[in-house]
Amino acid sequence: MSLTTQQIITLQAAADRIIPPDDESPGARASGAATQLIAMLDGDLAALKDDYAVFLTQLDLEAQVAYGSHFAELSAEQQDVLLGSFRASAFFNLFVEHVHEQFWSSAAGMKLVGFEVNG
Amino acid sequence: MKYDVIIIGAGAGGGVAAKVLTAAGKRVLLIERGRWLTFESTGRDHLRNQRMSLYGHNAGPSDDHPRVVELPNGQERVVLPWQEGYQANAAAVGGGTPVYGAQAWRFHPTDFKMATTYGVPEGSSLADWPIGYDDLAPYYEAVEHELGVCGDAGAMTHLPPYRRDYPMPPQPLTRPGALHRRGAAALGWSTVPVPLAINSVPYAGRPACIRCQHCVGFVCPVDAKNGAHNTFIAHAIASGKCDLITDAMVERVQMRDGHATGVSYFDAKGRRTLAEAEVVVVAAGAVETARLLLLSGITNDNIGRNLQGHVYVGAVGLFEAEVYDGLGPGVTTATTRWSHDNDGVVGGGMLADDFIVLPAIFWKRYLPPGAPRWGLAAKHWMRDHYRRCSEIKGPIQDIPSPQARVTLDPRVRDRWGLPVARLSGTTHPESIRTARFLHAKAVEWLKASGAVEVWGEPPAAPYLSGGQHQAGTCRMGHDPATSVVDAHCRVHGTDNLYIADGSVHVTNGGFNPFLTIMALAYRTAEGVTKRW
Ligand SMILES: Cc1cc2nc3c(=O)[nH]c(=O)nc-3n(C[C@H](O)[C@H](O)[C@H](O)COP(=O)(O)OP(=O)(O)OC[C@H]3O[C@@H](n4cnc5c(N)ncnc54)[C@H](O)[C@@H]3O)c2cc1C
Repeated sequence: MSLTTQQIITLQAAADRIIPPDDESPGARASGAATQLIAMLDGDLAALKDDYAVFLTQLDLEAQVAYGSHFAELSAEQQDVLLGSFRASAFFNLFVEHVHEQFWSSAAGMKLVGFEVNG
Repeated sequence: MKYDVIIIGAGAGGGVAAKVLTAAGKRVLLIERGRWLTFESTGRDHLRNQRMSLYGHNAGPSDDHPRVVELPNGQERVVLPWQEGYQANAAAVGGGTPVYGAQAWRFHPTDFKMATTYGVPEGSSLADWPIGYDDLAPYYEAVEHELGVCGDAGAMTHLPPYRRDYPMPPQPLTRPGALHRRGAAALGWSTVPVPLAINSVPYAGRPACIRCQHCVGFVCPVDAKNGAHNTFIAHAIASGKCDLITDAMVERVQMRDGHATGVSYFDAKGRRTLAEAEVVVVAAGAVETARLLLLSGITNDNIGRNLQGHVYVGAVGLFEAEVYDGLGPGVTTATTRWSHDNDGVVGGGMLADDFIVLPAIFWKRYLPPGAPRWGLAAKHWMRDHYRRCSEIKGPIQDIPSPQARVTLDPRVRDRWGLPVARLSGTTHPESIRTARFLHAKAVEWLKASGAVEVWGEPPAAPYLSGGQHQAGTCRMGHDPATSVVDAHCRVHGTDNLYIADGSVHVTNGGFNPFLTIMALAYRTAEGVTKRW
């Protein structure tokens, strides 16, 4: 099964709070890290796709219960509060790692820390 | 046709053996389950390489080669080659050497005499080698020149004087390297430039290193890293006397009454084939060599025991100013001050600065406890710390245990129907005491180098070490009751079966092992040419 459009929108938004954009550099969304992660759910992380679907649906439901709108439509502060409530969840922490893996191996991540490829 | 010698495994040891044997006029068949690697085919995927294999790796083996790992709690798991616990090195023409870090250390003279020097800790299988440093010195020298190693023999004052200096000068110093030299000097510790099988200047028709950032774990983009594939194996093939078959999985050594008649293998198309030879040399790496001997019906209870690699210790230092300079390979400066003669512990180890650390690896392995894990704080933490950190790390002299072991799994088979390797046990607990000792020295060094904060803990409990530095599973010795091969690396009870890889190491030195594997393979192959 594929992720639904809503789940994908939620993932992109949540990943962008794990590594947010700022003046200096893109976050997980604009760097392509989130898209890469979504692709991995049909590849190396396929075994976790169902868990992702459940997590993303739950995150979006919590957003609607707490604030009356989809997670992706909330303010950054509201999104952070919701994500923070998952701090103790093993799956959330796995998701955090997945976002970092993709971001720090992306061109944007390498550029941000000053890792230049010469040769 | 019948070959003079069949060599199983075209890795560090097998490659050297192929060169020495063909140079002596022998007809050699070299069989390798992996393939030739190229820069293009291995790439620079930061999440799938031999340095960090989160989702795969770039130098094999493929998932046709699972293993079973027995956990300390008695549970077992089937693991794929890039997964934790597999103890992978690589599977390719050159074995681990096309992607290795190329630290080209000779072992310390005392590394060959561990039991005599320290006694045997209860429950460990610590033992002396049947040969010593002096026996290997001429072969170390031959390998350093034929392979191409850069370094400064004059600085290696922990060793007897070299007869010849390294063929190339050391790589220039990096910014972190310079800091660590000053730090060590302040402590009164001597340092040495790390010897590397990397061209610091053009050598033997190949160019100098271009100081790129993807050395360890990757294939060199300009072929300036010297491994078995582009030196010894290339020479063996150029001699016209060596047939190399890749993508071929050896099933077993064919034995008759203590005599090897040849080997059976499955070629790339899965066809089972027999090849005959006067002599068979097994060089499949410590785990697979033990497995092959067991599959071949050779009976000696020591086969597969004493699996060891290196328990590593390391600490990360944070410096006030940026220390990163982007100049690869990155490792420049070591101390051998703590290799031996340390109060209250068995052995010791070498400490050195590290290869350039990829940002994704930095995130996974270099964060201090308490660092922010997500949000802008985490992103900025990386931005503000990546270029200000430097690691000091090194291998300790593992204290072997007979319980750290390779056996044949009773149930799981690979795609050729062969029982896979089953791994169990851990290093001897004494290793952890030595690790704690060496870790404290790494911390001391970083502080002396100017680190304002230092983090990273030594291992808390013994674990199974093997992996890229795997060794010990077919140890040398005079007595078949306590060893697998004799002092010429011929398998006890056979007249023509030899081993030429890390599995014959009795102990694995407090240094990275490949140069010793190659030197010993050189000596073993020379012995074969004299006897056959
Ligand atoms: C990323 C990395 C960094 C490293 N850095 C260093 C370093 O800086 N310094 C250092 O000293 N060492 C380093 N090493 C370790 C070094 O590469 C190994 O010590 C060395 O390659 C071991 O040599 P070997 O001959 O024992 O086995 P290998 O080189 O592993 O060769 C064994 C070969 O046998 C083949 N084989 C196994 N079974 C079969 C079979 N049944 N049929 C056919 N073929 C078979 C394997 O595919 C393999 O190619 C590093 C390794 C890696 C991967």
